[in-house]
Amino acid sequence: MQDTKREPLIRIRDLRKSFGPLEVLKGIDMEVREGQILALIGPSGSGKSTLLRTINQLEDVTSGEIWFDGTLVNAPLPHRAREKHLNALRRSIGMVFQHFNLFPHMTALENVTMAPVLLGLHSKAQARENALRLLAKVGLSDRADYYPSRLSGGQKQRVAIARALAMEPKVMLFDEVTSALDPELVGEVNRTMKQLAEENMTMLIVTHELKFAADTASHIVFMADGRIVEEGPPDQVLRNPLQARTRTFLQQDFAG
Amino acid sequence: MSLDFTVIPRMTDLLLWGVMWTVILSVLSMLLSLVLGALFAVARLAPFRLICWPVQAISWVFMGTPLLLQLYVVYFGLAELGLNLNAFTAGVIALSLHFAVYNADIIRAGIQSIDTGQYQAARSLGVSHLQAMRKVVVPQALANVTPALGNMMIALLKESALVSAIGVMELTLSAQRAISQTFRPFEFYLAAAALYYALNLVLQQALRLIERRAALTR
Repeated sequence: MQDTKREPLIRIRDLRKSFGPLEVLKGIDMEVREGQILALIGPSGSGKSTLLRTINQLEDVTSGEIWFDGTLVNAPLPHRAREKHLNALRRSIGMVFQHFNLFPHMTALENVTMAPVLLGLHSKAQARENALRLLAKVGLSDRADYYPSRLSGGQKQRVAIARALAMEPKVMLFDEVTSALDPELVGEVNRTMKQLAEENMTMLIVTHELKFAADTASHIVFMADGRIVEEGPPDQVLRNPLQARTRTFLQQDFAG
Repeated sequence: MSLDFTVIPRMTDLLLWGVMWTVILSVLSMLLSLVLGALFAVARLAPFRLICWPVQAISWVFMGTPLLLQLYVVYFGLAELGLNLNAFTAGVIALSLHFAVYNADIIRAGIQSIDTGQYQAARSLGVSHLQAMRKVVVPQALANVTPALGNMMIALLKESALVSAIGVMELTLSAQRAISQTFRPFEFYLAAAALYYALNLVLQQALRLIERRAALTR
């Protein structure tokens, strides 16, 4: 048991992924330790979102291995067994999407309680109590009975975070969660994520916001063209990058 | 010769009998066509050809041929093969199947129009395919296609008149009976038309209520 504790929570080995003839992940090796806040940065099309989505298998892979908490995520299984295996894993892997993907026919509260109730983790009353606590945590106690159409982008995204947290995941995946927001709404979502970071939630964050990554992340991974070019602590990768490719990217980004 | 609507009250019982059977026939066929339509839609979306193709074939046959012929085949044709259905049952079967294939197409398009992000968000929480479909995708799809399905129900109510051709004593046939007793075709056909129209007004109100309820949940 103690040995597995020391294992990284997520370990990725020589991961490759092709869409037809186009190889978008060209052999990724990566580790995420418990409590680590890892930011994935890089130009559009570098494969960072795809990489994130392979971890909970919303995207399947061509070859390589993804280990989560001692389990091979992409184990070769027959369809039905694989579905069961993934359903179990996905409970522990929370995900927040760029376009929120809140369920529009449910209130904020129902969005948060749906999965725990469906999966029998909580009774309806327990789930409700838990959801109200999570909505309070993301600052939306007063919006519990609102339908998503009546929430701002920032509020929607915070409900989405609460929805993922309701499963009590061991890791949270954030897929460009502020990219679709108006600039003045980015802050509230970033604050919520920082708060999670301070509570030692393990987080993988795909982001274009280098400042946020510098402030929040404990580890930065820079990807380009389907490969990891450079990784390390924010001070090193963002301020003193070793690779020319990283420097070009950072210059362009700050210039743009 | 001038119009004389005073003949109509004499046939009230006959016409009301017709209305009653039109309602029974239509409501039964509507429910069946919706249930079958949903099943066909699910089958059409299934990744297995063994399920997908037969349903596709049924849908081509029932969309590509006239309802009147379908009624004849189900009633007279099947009788020749030894399957003696009464006219009412044959009518319900033909009407339901005919409209089920249209409903299936509407429901299938509705399901496919839901953003895949909705399904993925549900699956990312660890719920199964069926749970994600049942709780997230299908309710949204149904809310979107309620108006289109409602139009099919209105069409079904009107097309149920064709069932008179195989001798079901519904509204159209009862009007014809009244005519053969009174020799007043214009009056009774107009009366029947007015009754169909009244039935559809009621149906439209019901559909509006259902639509509003479906729309409220967003």
